[in-house]
Amino acid sequence: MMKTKPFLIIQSALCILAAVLLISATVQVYIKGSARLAADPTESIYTKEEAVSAAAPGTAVMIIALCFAVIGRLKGIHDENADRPVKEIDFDKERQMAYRGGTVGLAQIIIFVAAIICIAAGIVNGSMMDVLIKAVKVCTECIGLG
Amino acid sequence: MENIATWWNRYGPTKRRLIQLYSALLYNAYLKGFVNGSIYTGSTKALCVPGFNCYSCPGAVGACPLGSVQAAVASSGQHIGFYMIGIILLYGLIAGRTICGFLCPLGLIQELLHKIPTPKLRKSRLTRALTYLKYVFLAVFVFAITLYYGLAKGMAVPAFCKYICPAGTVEGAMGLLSNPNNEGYFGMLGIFFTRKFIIMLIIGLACVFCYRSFCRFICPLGALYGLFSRIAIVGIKVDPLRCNGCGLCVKTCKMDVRYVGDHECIHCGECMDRCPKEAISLKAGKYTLMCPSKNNGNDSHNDSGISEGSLAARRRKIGKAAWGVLLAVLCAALVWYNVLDPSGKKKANAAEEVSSGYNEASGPKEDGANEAEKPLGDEAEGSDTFESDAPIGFEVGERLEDFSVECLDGSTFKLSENRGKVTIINLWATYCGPCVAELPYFGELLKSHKEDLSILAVHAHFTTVDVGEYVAQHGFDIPIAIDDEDERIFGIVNGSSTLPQTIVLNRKGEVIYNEVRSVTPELLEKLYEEAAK
Repeated sequence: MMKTKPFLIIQSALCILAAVLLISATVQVYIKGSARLAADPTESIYTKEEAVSAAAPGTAVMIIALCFAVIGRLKGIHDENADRPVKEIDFDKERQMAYRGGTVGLAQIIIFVAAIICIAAGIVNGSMMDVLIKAVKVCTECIGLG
Repeated sequence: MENIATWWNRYGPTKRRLIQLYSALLYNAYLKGFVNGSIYTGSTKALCVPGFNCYSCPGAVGACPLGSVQAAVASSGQHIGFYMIGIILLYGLIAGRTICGFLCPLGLIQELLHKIPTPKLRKSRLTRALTYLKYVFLAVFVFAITLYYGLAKGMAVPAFCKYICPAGTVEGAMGLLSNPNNEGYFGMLGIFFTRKFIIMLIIGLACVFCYRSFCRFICPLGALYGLFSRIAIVGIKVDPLRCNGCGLCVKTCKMDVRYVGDHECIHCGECMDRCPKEAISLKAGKYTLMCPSKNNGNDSHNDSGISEGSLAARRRKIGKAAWGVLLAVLCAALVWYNVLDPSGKKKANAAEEVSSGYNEASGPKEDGANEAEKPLGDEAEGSDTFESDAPIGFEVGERLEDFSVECLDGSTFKLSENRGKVTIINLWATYCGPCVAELPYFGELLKSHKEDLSILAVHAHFTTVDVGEYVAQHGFDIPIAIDDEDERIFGIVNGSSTLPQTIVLNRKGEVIYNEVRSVTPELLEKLYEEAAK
């Protein structure tokens, strides 16, 4: 029988360690690369080899953490406290009791019609094309590659 | 065997998890993209998927709603983004935050991370207060900053994507970087990647300890959909006749709800089985989609006199049929996007056409049979000093296929006529912030080396703005052309789906630099010096 608490603590430590190692690896590569770039503007801050070798310890710890997680799941280990009801939280009883839902009202019909009109107007005025353009020609900075 | 069955019943995937996996796969049905490291460029990308799924993910076949909202905000100087207003209204009205609970791949990732067995941080008054942060993110990053850059500077800067979005980092950036075909992308990584990678790790770590941290405290899309909580057609509904107001649903919910179905509720339905009165169910209008599992075989009668047991049996039947339809849709999507889609084939053919004269398996052709392989010197004026026998291609050491294009100022740019000069070709677009930011550097370089340098900036074919007017407004004083419908110039220089890209040719017309990366004045000067040698 596995002890739940030590397992959870070890698992937490592994997760935090993996994140810390990966963050420090990124910062290290960035600092080193920035110095290289300052000396020679044709150089890159990141190189594949450097990134892979710097990320190796963090990745290894992350894999160990994931293996632990799988073992934990198979054994059914989890923080039982998380499933217990929270006591100190407010419950809006009146609104809960008043909340019925289930019917389609006038507001919903108006919004639906407005949505369809807006989409049609968007197709005509070119704003749908904006979406397509942005989705097929990606700006590097927008996805964090810059 | 019995143990396995018990374990499966307890820990196996729920219907909701299956729907989450299904939608993640459907949104990313272009599996070929993961193999060849490119993104899908077909017309379905004009449609937004309801959940958070980066459109730069190699598999994405639709657009991200939040990225598209920002694109609409950024282009509000040109036209009102009616399309995105309509899409958000429609999705919000139909499903609201049920999308977060069932149809969001980022939500799925967060929930899987939370499955890692560690001590969990429970909700409290503090976490409830923190949920209002997402409205700040919505106001500042999605609207204020994006609008400021769009209106004041004429630049498309989707601030949330650029500074925060972990979906962009994990699906877009990591998805593209992890492919061996995109090794060149490492060259463009800098401060943005470093910052976003760290943010992604912190959010990921937070999700391990705190349920759906990103959804609860940061997600602007959840904030938008939350506005529809009272009117969304699909969602968790409470039967007031059954509810005894014990509050167990709210007290055991992992989200920071005040009552079931409020703007924080993601309609995951976990409260359904916890309700002692079986008062909660997931409904679409008056139709029940999911109800407490205890209720399925119950023989009690509802208001219309039909027994709950027969209703449950009918629901099971409909459920099975729905799963069949969904599976058929998924199979059709996978076949369409990976095998039949003409846009993918067109792109592959274009790439093949451009790289004629270059055989990837055996390297550059050497027989010189191809007409296009004739040295540039044959066509160009000038001495033989600048002749090149490099093969046609776009890689460093190769020579670009000749082309000519009419520029916006009416002049014609013919590549072969620039032999003897250093030539720089830049691929850009008005909707690409870094592209617009770096264009003045090319103008400065051209001014300082006017006699010895030719520059051409090629705008991507897709555009909804008047590029000529845009260029005049910004005062860019370099030759600028717009690529044709077949993206001929992008094809010749191996222009990718990511911008900006810069190609530098030496005096012989040989490529010495071809990278997707923002440039600095120092880098341009250095590249010029290298090319001019």
